[in-house]
Amino acid sequence: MIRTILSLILTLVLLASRCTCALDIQSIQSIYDRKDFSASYTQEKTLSRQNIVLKSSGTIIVINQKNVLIRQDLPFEQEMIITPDALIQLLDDEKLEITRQKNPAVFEISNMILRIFTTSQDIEKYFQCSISGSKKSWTVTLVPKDEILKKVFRTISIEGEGFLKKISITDTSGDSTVMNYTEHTHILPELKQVEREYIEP
Amino acid sequence: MSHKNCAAAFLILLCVLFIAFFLRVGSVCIDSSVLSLLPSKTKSSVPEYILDAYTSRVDRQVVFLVKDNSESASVTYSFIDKLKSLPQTEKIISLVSCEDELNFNRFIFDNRTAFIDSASREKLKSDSYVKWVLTNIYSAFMSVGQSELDADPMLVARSVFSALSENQPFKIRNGILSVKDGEDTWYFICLITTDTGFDVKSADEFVNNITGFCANIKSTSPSTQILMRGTVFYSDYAAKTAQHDLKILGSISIIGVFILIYLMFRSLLPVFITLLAVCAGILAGLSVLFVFYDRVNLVIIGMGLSVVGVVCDYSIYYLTMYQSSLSEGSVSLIRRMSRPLLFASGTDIAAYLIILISPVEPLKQLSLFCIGAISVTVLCVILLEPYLCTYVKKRTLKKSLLIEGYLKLVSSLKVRVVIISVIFGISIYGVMTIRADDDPSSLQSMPSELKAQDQMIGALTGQTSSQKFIIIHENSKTALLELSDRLKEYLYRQKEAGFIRSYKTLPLNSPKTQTDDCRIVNEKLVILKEKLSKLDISSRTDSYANNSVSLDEFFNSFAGAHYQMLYLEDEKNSLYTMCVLVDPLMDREKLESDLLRISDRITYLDRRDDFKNVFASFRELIFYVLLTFLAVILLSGIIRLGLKKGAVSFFASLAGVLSALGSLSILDIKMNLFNELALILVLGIGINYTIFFAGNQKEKATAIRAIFTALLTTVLTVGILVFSSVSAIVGFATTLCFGITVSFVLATILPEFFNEKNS
Repeated sequence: MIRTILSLILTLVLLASRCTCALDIQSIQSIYDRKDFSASYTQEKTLSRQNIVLKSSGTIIVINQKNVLIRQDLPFEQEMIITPDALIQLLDDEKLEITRQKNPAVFEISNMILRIFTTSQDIEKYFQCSISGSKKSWTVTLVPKDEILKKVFRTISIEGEGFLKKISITDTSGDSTVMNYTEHTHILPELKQVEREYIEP
Repeated sequence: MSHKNCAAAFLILLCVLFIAFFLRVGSVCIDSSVLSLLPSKTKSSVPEYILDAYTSRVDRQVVFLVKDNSESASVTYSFIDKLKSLPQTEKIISLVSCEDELNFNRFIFDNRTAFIDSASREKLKSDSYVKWVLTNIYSAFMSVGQSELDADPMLVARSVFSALSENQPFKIRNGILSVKDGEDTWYFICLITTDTGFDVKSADEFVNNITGFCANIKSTSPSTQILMRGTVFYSDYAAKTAQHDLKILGSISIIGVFILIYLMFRSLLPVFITLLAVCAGILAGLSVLFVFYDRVNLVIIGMGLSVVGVVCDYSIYYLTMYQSSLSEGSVSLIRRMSRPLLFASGTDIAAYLIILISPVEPLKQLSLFCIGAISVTVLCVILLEPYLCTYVKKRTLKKSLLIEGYLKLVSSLKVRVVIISVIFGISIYGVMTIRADDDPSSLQSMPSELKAQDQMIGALTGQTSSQKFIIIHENSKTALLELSDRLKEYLYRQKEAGFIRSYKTLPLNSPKTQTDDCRIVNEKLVILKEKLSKLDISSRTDSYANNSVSLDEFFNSFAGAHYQMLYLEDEKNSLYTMCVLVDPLMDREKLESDLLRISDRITYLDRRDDFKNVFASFRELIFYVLLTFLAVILLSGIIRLGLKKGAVSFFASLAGVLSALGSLSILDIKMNLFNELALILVLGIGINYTIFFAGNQKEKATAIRAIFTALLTTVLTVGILVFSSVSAIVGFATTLCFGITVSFVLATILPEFFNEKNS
């Protein structure tokens, strides 16, 4: 009798703990660090046919949950600025700007990037989300719903703790990219003049 | 010479004029284009039939936007099926199947170096292009993978497709072009109507059917919204409005005139006698015009027909006086009346004679027509009507309480002073506040519902009414593409500088540019492959082939089919034309002079602006006609009546014109060409009243009856148009009615000042 009661209590406790451990996108968003941050990143892009890995590294800065600056240092300097209204590539002294109005199709991609980096509130509108892990260490796997993005990206997975740790992208062609983020800090490096021109407050 | 002999001579002259008319009418070219009234330096070098063909293409396009949030666009497809069933539908061009999309993309990809745009070419030539390619290869998000590196390492197709989709809000969803507005999906349907057999009746049937389809869809799917835009809707609205006006207003007018003339004359014979004189005048006007000109503008004839309002009064005066003078014969009456009639018509003719010496060809035509019409009508009245009148029964005119009461009222000095002060006040107000508006859109107001839909479609699709056209033409397809390349380069520079918002042109480059671009790509490919080899990355492309796509190959492809509307060829005359859509932010003059520097085979088309310029320049010319007319009235008045009376007669005419302006200002109607034409009529009719009333002071009641009848016939025939739905006509009718009423009042009260003085 006592054994039965004890096992029942244990089952109930286990069930309860499982409920407290169950994750959804809202709980991820609630624990995600939304303050402005910068981090170092290393990226490895694998071209599947030749099995070649392209390595790059640099700094990523996220401001106001809607501006992402990706400053690449190696193997050569270049930068990408992503805001809600524009995607800007800076290379040497040249600038290539893609706006929502100019090129809505290409702009969809930059919007996707923003949502990934900020795990934005409306991410489920654009991706099918599945979550695994715990609140301490979680993985969100995204599959694009948009027809154009579906043709390009197979899956995107985001790993994090309170902050972003890793992004893995698998293209429909079989190529894949893994980005690891370290040395997170809320102290942002000084912004360049051109960056300040585009950042949305 | 006896009256009978003069009448006979006049009849012979009429026969000669009519023979001249019938001999010439076959060989005279009647031009119905308003734009041919423009001075020749502003005219296009492109033949009119080409411009008409492009205009017709635009006119045949009907655009629908259907808000349909269903998964499979079922409501939209149901609407499309209904549209396809209409006999007026030639085709629907916004359906894009997966196969169509694939064929489009494949053609562009296979021939990508033939479609490199100016921005991509500039980037390609820059030193950092290779580095840009590497950036994209390294990027996690730009998805440049192995397959693209193998097929297109220079990422040329990526740039070409990016340029083609620039400023394009459309995406293909469920096989139809669509745009998103927040959460809502709007499907874009472009329907092309048939080019033959599309008359007013079939257009009306088309519009009614579509209205029915929309109502049907709305009842089964209330959340669906359908917007529409197309020339057919506006022209159907204009036709329905005109028919309504013709039916209701036209009927009231004709019935009213017949009743009035019957009440005045107790016979319909005076109507026919008047019509005869007026028709003879119009035919004579046309004869004179056809004798001197091989090419006559229909718009000028239309403007000239307004002289009918002046000349029909001559008959009315004579017939009224004849019927009431029980003892006097028709010939002796006309001998007495011919002096005032000749003075009145002479004043009008003198003004038009002065206009005849103007260097402006259309104005010369207008004055020649009017001189012919006025001369022959007044001679008809003087020489022929006395013989026709013998069939009109004379009768004692009963005393009209209205006319007696009016004469009694204006005999009071106080009343006359008040009336003149009010007229003076309205005139001053008119001079100070009247503004001009030559915009063609102000001539007929668009129905607000259609306007709102037009604006919404413009906001959702980016295809606004501010878009203009540039037409280029050459004698060969290669030369046309080369000119297109030069124009594209210019437009790109202007867009970068912010002088042009957007432009759409044929993306295919000339054979020479295709060869040059391919060479540049291959030169840069060598550099890229060197860099890639250092990274151990290989590509299966060793060089880009120059496929040299011709214009015919392009239009035979699925990709070219989308641009067919921009191209026209006339092989018989070796004329090949292309249309470029542009949304300029710069001055028209600057744009036109820049285009002329590129080539004289480029024409900038802004029909609305062209019409506005024509109307504005004619309004200014008609203003000088008005001033001339006033000067002639002053001079002839002084010669005829002496300085004092002549000056008074002049101020009466001036007051008629200025108070008409005042009435427009009060009603917030702006001055335009049509209102100014009405002012000329005010002068012409007003001087008739003044001369005729002043010349018949002994038979005041009969004279006033005559000019009152003339006033009422003009009000009934033209004044009723104040209720028209067309703004231009309302303005014309308001100006005329107010002006001639004031002229009538002043004609009848001013002589009283001199009568009082004499007594």
